[in-house]
Amino acid sequence: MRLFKRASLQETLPPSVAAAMDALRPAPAPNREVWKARRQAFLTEARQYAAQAVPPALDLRHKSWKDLFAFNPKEVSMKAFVKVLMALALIFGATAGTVSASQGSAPGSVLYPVKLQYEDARLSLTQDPEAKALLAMAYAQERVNEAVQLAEDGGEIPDSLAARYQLQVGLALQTMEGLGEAQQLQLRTHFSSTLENQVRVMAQVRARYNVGENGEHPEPTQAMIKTMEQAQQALGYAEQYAGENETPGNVGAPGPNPDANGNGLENGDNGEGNAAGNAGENAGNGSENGGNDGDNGGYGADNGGHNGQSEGNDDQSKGKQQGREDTGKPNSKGRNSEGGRPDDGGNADNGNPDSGNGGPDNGGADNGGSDNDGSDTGGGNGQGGNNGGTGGGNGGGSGGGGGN
Amino acid sequence: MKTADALLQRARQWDEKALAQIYDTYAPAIHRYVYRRTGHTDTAEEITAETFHRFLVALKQGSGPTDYLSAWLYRVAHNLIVDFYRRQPAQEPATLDDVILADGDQGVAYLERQTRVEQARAALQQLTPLQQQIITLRFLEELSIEEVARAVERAEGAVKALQHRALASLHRLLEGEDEII
Repeated sequence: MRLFKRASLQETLPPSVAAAMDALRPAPAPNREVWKARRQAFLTEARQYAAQAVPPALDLRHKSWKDLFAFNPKEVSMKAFVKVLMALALIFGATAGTVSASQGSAPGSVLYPVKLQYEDARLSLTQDPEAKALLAMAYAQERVNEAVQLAEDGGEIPDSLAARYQLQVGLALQTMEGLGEAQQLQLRTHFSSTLENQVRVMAQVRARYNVGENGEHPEPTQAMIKTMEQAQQALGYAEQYAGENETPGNVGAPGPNPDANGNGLENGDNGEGNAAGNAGENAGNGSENGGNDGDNGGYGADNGGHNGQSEGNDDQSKGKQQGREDTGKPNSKGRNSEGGRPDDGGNADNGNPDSGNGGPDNGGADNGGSDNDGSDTGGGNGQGGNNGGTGGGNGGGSGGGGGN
Repeated sequence: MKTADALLQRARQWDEKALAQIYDTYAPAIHRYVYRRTGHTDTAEEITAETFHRFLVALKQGSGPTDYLSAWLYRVAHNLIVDFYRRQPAQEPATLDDVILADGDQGVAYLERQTRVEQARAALQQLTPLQQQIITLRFLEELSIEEVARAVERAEGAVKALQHRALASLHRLLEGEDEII
């Protein structure tokens, strides 16, 4: 039988079959209202998924570590130098000494590239995802420490430091996504408190640069803070989805007084205010749009306490444990409160232009929770509201000093 | 196909306009397809919605169609129809509301028409699901053999053979029913 267009197609059919086909062909147009509602539900669902996608700034999968060095010719030649140095070190058996000497080096020093290469080597040699994620975050913390050091010494923070920071935070979060739920939950708690401290410290760094410079903030500092905020947001969403899949408890520990942590900088006069202010603003938007401000506001404030707990990166395991044990408040308050309608508040939250990025990482979202509830049109609203709550928590939590 | 592929690419980036365009382009076709298979507007609406939900989930998981979106959608819709009948095999025949009236069609003409539709659908539904899929796609949705082959994930030759057998069965069923009436 050959291909025919419709008219001749019918001719090839036995008359009875052709008649049957004619009888079956008419199909009613669907009810307009229903159709509009279905279409809206489809687009709402798409918007939710879009909000859960990895924000571009954190999507670093396609970048290799080498890209980081490639854009600065000075550093490329430095890299060659480092190779020679390492080769010599190997020959003369001085590797260990050189590397350990490099560990305290600051950007711009001769040994600093050795330190970075050592980090890269360790990261690429670490196979266990949990260890790798922790290591990447520890190195990211090291970037923050370097920024603090540079600020104190009056040096400039190079772009490459901010870029490397972003890369390492991205790696930490992405590696975390590959973990099982329980481990993810632990790391999330740990990371969000680490980031919380980092935001604070960087705000002080920024404040320091601000002094005597006509209000101009150096770009790398801004870039680092932006990365932190994006990562926090990603963690916020992820935490929320993990909450759906696991126990409804919130992973938060009322941590020890954050001021107990040493702080490399004197307290900047307005830096702290900036950090808290930014986070707070985002939180405010979230809960307003979510349409259940009262619940979220209270919850957000409660959640805040745990963020001060990180004691720097040497103390990861402790931080994790603390985060793990506390159940806190049920995380579900905001979620279902306004379930049914596809197109109220929750959407607006996802598209919130103030938030600066698309939001969460994939990890939590892929765990099945949203697969199951994705089909009902109401899923979006409560989630939007809940985001606001978590955001509020982060904002409120930044109380005291961090950094090493 | 190029524009469809580009559309799909944009949809993968969660471009809302592209997604809306996909919905507006393909949802009516899927709705028609499901209606022709089942004869129920409600079922057609449900299955169409579920098909597009699955499309989004697939995009989210990074799977789903990379090209030939419509073939993918027809396939998902077909699987849902099969599931639907597996869950509730005893289906009420189409209600009066579901039968389309041509303007001026009334009384006897209307009833005759309704009977023809019911007979035709009853015969179609006695075929295997795969045969039903092929016949509907080919003769009601009027896809080419190539397009049908993509939707049912079989070689074109296999589709032709299946179509041939399905038509023979359908012919037999319809002639037999004519004799009964």
